[in-house]
Amino acid sequence: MNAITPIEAGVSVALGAPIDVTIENVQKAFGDTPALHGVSLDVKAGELVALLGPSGSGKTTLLRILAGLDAPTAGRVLFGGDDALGLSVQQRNVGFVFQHYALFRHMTVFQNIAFGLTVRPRGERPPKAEIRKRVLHLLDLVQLTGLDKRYPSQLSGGQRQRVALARALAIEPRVLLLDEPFGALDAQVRKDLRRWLREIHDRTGHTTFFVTHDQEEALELADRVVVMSKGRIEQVGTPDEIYDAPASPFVFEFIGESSFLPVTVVDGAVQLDGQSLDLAALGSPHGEATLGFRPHDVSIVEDGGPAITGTIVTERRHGGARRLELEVGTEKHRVEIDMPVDHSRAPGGQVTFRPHRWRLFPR
Amino acid sequence: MAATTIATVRKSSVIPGFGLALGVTLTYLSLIVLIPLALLFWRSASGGPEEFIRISTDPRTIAALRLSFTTSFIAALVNLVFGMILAWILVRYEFPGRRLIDAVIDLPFALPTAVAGIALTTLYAPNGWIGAWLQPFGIRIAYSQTGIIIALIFIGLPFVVRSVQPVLEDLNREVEEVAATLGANRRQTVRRVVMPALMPALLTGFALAFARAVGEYGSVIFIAGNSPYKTEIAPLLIVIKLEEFSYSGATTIAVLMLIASFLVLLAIHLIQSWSRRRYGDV
Repeated sequence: MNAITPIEAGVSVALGAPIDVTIENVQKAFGDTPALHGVSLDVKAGELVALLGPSGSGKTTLLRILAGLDAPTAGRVLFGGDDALGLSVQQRNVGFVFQHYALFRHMTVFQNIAFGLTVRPRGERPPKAEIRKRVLHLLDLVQLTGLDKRYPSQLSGGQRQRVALARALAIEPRVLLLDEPFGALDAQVRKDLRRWLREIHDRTGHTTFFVTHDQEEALELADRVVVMSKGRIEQVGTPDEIYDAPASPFVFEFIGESSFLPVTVVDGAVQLDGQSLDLAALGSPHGEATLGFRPHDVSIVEDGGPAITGTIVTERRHGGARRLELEVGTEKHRVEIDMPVDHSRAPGGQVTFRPHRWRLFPR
Repeated sequence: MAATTIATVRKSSVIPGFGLALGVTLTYLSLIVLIPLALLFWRSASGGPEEFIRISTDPRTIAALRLSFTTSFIAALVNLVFGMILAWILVRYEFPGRRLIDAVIDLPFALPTAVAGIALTTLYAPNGWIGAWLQPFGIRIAYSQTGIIIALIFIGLPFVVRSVQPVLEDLNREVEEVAATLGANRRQTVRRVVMPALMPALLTGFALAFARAVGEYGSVIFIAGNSPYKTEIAPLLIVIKLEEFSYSGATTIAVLMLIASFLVLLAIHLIQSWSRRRYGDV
């Protein structure tokens, strides 16, 4: 595998202006099984948007509807203000990249990339020399210069995925759609390609959607992240908003690591088993709520002040910290907290802590 | 070179028993295929070169061989087209009776070919159900070369279907979808994406159907009419020679058939290995 180097200046792709994409109340059912319940989303021209969710959340279905590979049961999709659902897949002019590359294995790399241009009707087809120029240019862009005569079987996974991307870019798509583009690659290649895709995007400026179930990938790569679950959008926001201000327990749990405790909000203060925790809950409604916090956002309390006390169940090394699994309260809820590595505690002992960052979700 | 390779395989392979397996294979092949074929060549040469040349240049022999190979080729071509369509329908569509059709495909394998020949003759004879309809238009199927081709199509039907079917099932739908997003219409996708992927399987099916048709005897003799120079196939001529106790005549024709078949199959095999080397496995 040849290493992926930063893209050289001067390599660029001729493009139309990027377009806005509007998704209005799109619904999809396969038979009686609903896959999308009324999804709406506005994406600005040139944005790189991640559709993030567990499998079965409807993210791939949404991507396929944008491409025209599936038709929604109801709703509207607008490309640059114009209805896109009336257009066939062929007319829609989108670049689609599959997780398993879907390269034409009987064609060379060159023929693969040129495919979208060579199938155009005679009147719109660029002359041979022009096609050749454009393909070689794209090969430079995806850093596969000189591999044009290879067959897909002679390439590594990362190289194949770059050919797939070049092939999608060759038709000068209005929108770029990537379905788990790095899902089949190993961790190191995935990281390289991630950084590289961001560079390509910054250079070409396509409005881009990519589907992933890897939250790290979504947060690192996307301008905005769309978190989906069970056919609905849970939250749309920048990576910071998604990570720091999750809108629901689902998002909190899906993004990053998390612990939850059932608590009660009484007069703007959080109580656990009737004991105040000294956590201000300003603006939270009175009553039952779920307290969520990240394992690394806790402080150990040794001054006897109001805090959460738990019994240590297990203790293990977790990266730069020591992670404790605790049983808390009369209901023995399991939570995880991180402690400095030099604080070794034996299972069975007691730990008192207080989250210094947390979220309250009314129940 | 070959010896070292074998030795290395034997020593380091985690799959043991190479020597034994090779020995069994060679013995088995020798007993079933190689020795009988060698005997065939030996018998055909027993009459001397003049006899061999006389029989192989006999117009009746040439006519029979030409008939056998052309009808087999046409039948295999027809099976190629319709077998491909059948496989496509069976794999790509859900419809009531699909499994039944799937099962029916194998019937020509199971049926004694003489039964097939009699059934086809009954249908296509000038007084048969279908033959009676065609008679007024001057179309004769039974007792003509068309009849031979129909019988050969019947017995060769399963081969193309069964070799294409699994490949079509494995063919990634995403490849077709990606072609569509790139602007290819359905016709372009089938021609430039699907067909090349199916080509090796189609060739295999064609080769098998062709080979089977060349050797077919039972079904053809009922429908062919068997008149010398016109509708007499080579396998029938071999039987006729045997009935005349002309063993060298029979074996000579057999050897000629064998060589011709071998060349055709070898050519198909070479095309296949060329395409496999080129496309590789992704």
